[in-house]
Amino acid sequence: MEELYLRYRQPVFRIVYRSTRNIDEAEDIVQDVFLKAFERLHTFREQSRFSTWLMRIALNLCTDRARMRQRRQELLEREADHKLAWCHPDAPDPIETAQQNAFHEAFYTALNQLPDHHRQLIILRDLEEMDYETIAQILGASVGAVKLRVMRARRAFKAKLEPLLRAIGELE
Amino acid sequence: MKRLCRELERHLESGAEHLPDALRAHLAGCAKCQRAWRLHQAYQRALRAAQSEPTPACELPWSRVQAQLAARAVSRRPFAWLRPALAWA
Repeated sequence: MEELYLRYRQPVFRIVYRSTRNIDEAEDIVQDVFLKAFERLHTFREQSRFSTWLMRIALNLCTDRARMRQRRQELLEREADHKLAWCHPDAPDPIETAQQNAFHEAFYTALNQLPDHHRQLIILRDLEEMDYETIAQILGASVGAVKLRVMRARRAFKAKLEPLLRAIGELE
Repeated sequence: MKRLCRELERHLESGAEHLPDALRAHLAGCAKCQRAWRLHQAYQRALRAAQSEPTPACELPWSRVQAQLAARAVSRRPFAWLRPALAWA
């Protein structure tokens, strides 16, 4: 198990980190990925690759975490609205963030605004440059369906990215 | 939307970095497609910038995962909840 862990730790971390952009959170998720994988090793079907199986677990855990984070954020905002009516919650302004952190930060700001299923596809296909076949295996979908979903994800992503790029002067 | 506008949109969404001649000719005279093309190029630049950003190394040691695995295995044993009580008695 240690060998498997050492072999796949960094590739799993890369995907998770692209999604969270936080080292501690990414390491927590990586730990959960391997705990889940090793505890369910007997359910692993060898028709898919071990790395593919791990990536599927990682994406599911990232989605769970993102939902938890969003729920917590909503609760905090609701609480702040309730208790501190005079004080506006300090949700970061995406445009300001992009200006401060320049080009690649605009990219991640837009990426984080996407729904999970779109974000995952942009990470896997456009950032990690995985082939459609592998993505199809990870997501349990056909190659054709994945191609279509990637196109939709890009369309959604560009719509989010456009105002951010304009704000930092990368688009006229 | 014109046929060529749709074609160009599909072409860009498929991730292409270069345009065929027919679409390039169309682009020269279509303001809407020019905007889409500029956005697409900016997207490609942003993508390259994000790709070139190094990913930090994962420092999570195997010993931590191993310890967690062992702890979870113990807690799943039948009557695990009884053990502390028996030990105390």
